[in-house]
Amino acid sequence: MSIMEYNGGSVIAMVGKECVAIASDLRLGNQALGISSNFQKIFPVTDRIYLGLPGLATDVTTLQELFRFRVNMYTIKEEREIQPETFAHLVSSTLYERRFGPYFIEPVIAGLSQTPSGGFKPFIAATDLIGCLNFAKDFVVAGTASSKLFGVAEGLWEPDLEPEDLFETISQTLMNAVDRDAYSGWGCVVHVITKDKIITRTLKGRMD
Amino acid sequence: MLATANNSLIAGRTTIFSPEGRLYQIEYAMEAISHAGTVLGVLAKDGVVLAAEKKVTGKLLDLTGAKEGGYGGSGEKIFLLNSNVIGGVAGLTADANSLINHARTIAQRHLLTYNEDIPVEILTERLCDMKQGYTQFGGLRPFGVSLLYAGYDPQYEFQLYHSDPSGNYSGWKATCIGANNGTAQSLLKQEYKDDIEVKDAIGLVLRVMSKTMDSTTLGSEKLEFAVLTLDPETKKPKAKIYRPSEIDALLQSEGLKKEDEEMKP
Amino acid sequence: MANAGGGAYSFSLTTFSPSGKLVQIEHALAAVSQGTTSLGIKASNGIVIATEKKSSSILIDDSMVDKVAVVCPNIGIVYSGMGPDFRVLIARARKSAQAYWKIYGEYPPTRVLTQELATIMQKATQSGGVRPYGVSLLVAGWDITRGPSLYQVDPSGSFWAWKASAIGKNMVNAKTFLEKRYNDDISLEDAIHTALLTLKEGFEGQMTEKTIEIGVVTVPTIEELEQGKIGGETGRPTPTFRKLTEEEVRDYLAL
Repeated sequence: MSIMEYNGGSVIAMVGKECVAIASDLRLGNQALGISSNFQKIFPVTDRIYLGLPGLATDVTTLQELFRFRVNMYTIKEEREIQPETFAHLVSSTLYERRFGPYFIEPVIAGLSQTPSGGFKPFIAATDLIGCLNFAKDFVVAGTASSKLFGVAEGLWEPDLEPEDLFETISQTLMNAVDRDAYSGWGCVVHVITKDKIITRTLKGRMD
Repeated sequence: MLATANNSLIAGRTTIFSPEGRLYQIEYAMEAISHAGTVLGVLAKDGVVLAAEKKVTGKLLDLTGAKEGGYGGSGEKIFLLNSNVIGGVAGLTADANSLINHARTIAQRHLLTYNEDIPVEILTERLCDMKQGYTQFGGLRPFGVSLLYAGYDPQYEFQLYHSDPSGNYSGWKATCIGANNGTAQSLLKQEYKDDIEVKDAIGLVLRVMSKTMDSTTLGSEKLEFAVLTLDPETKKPKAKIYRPSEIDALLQSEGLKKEDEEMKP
Repeated sequence: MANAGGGAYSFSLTTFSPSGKLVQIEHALAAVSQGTTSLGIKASNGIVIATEKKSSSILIDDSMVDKVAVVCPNIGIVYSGMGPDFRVLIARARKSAQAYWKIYGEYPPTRVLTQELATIMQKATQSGGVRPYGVSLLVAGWDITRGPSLYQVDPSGSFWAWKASAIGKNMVNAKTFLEKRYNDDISLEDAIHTALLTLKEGFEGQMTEKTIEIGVVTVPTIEELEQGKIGGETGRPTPTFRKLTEEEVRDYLAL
């Protein structure tokens, strides 16, 4: 058994037109036994960055608190908000600190980064459990349903989706993928980040 | 001859009592602070107000860096220590920076361990434990810094603390550190009322500041200003460190702005 | 002086005098004011830092003496005071910049690096067995958040942001000169000339490309920024700080 399957769970992020979306399931399990259908795996980092932490549940909490610590220190010391690219590097180096006794988490980062001319550019990235960064232009997946998510996303995703269309695409991708994975599911949460608001919706899913 | 040698030995070392039972280094450090720019704090029913006098001025200073409050914004004398605590420093700037760094780390470590914002007195005490340490072991000189802490926590709500180089701390309704603190203290004693509100505290702080600062001008180039209140919507503490333009506007509205004849355009 | 603690080296050498002063810091400042003059001017489209370079003998290879140092692609530093102390600080600054790069994948903003240096210098005024650094620094750099910025760091570990400042032997005169000359919309080219004019006041000997060192911060255009790093996403950032070559200095002096 892979340690990722101990509690289960999956996260996906997608790029749209001047927006990004990140979504996860809500299951917390003990291997095949479902424990909770309300387990948060995605956390806000700033107003424009969200972080998804699929993997071992205890490490989800620990890493969320550790990143809150590091981002708060960054913000107060540098007197500025961290940018998604910079945060991605912070995630990577934080995980690599534990190269030989890693956190069992495969983080997914989604955000809008400020461009030099003052606009916003979608940004998504994912890393493996020791922090190898994967910048993607379309979508990134992680967790126990990652192989299924990959397949469905390849079929459904298209470039330059507007926020509402992106919401539909990411929701369909996640719902259909987790239905094919015993360790993910039990409802989903979706966040769409646009330059002036965040759309957060909770979806009902199959409870088997 | 021997006596003088011994005296200078004691004077230079923090960890040794003098024959009269004094710790000279602490007294000398306090002397340094008594010349520093004034920092003044007033505790109100619905918030805390801090103001500080800037001593470093110069025509060519670059003031474009002064930003808005919230997480971040800090000047030369007033700093955000955590989302619920603002600090005002008097004394050696470089020592103060080091203490501020420690305070911020202490606060974030507390958040990491307990998942709550650090209570104001805990932060004050932890920082004072460090200051005290420098007066007892290690053989290092004390920090030449006094601080005012303006903070909020759900248990004791708004609070104002003061700490000095010895590691002493105490809670106050209104107090002042730095140059002319005696004058300011007596003014505060006369004018402070127990049920004062933030809007009146702002006026009080600025009035006392304008009387204590021995300068002919009063404007944003000489003054830093901050207020900690509760956000009416979220009920969470909201720290606002004023921008230079906002300070000038505030002084104008209180009728306290003093300009140099030369400086006028 | 045997002691139960860590011995003589565990005590602060910088301690408070009865008047509340840290005398060692004042002495360190005296060492700085004996050093050759350095200055920095922030222009509307960049920054110039410049210094006088003195050789004790004509047999010294001037080109090997570096008083303006590059810390990372966006930050450079000039100093007045003790050369060896500066060299050590630069090594620390470079290490700090690289450590920052290892965590965040980018080089530190000027203010953050300045704070880092100030912390190092403050520690030397309080730690056991060490004297303060005998240098003042002018740190010039560019970053996306604050644009071009110029900081001065003193032996005490205090730092300030300046539009223009001077340190070293001739600092008082130089500052008065700069106060008269400075205006907010000065261009980089004008600032370089003002810098040279300021150094000329009280300059001992001949001003040549061998006795002057200049570093400049240039502000990248939005197009250059959008283009990003040299060699794509993971490549090296385009430098915004550089030292002028001897030829360039000679050209500025000729004007």
